[in-house]
Amino acid sequence: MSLAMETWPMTITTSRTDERITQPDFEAFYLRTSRTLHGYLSRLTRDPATAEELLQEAYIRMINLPAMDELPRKAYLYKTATNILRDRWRKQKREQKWSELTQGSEAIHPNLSLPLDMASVLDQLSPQERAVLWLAHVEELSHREIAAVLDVKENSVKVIVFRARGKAKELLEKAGLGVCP
Amino acid sequence: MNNESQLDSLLKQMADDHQPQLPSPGLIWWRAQILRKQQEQARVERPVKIMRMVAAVACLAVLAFLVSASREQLQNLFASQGWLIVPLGIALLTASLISLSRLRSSAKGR
Repeated sequence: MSLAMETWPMTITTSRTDERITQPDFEAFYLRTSRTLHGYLSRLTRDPATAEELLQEAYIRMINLPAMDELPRKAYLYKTATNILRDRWRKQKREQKWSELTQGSEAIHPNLSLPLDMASVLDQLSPQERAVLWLAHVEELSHREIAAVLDVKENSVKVIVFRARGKAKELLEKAGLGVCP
Repeated sequence: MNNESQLDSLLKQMADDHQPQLPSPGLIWWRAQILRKQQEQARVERPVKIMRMVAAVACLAVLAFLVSASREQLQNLFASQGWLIVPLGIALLTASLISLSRLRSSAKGR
């Protein structure tokens, strides 16, 4: 996994003052981060509309917190969005989905006779595997940082990342999408 | 290029290709401000609501105490002048309804 140049803080600390983020700062931050956060949530939920709702809720919670630096703010955003999704799944009594996210078990059998792109390959992985692949490759987080966002142990992240990469490569190879064996 | 970097580039490509139509940051900012104001209002009004409830309970307790303490006198009064029951009952009911409606309107945050 490629490592980010800067690392996300493991504990999200707010500033000592009660100052909140200013509107111009928020708008700049939103424009920098919203597209990838929406991508992450879309991959997790498989539903762009739900992803947008979660995204808005996460940003609203972030705005009403005391101001933070860029990296803790981003960490807070991903962690909050993931937690909101988890709560929503719990509320909707879709605990099966969350257990997939926390335990990583998935019993989806891909239909490889269909044409595949990267998005549909990801859709055939468990929510947890989709999350770790996105965070590891798109956001370039370390295992430790992923563990902090997803509330799982660092050692578990290593295993999940390894397994998710293996599955994704296998699916891509079978789909002829160019990943060499 | 090994297959891990190919997977990496495919994932990054997918992320780059993701161009959703998202709400404007101004809209989210505005919603956050409304929510914050509502939360602040609720926080400020919470002690007042609690005190209103406490006052209502205290009034009921005092009323119950007074009624039980002067039960004999009340029984004598109603025995000699039974017509008083109706206007007193109406007055008590009206006062209770007004108090309840005020409590409910304050609980709803006006």
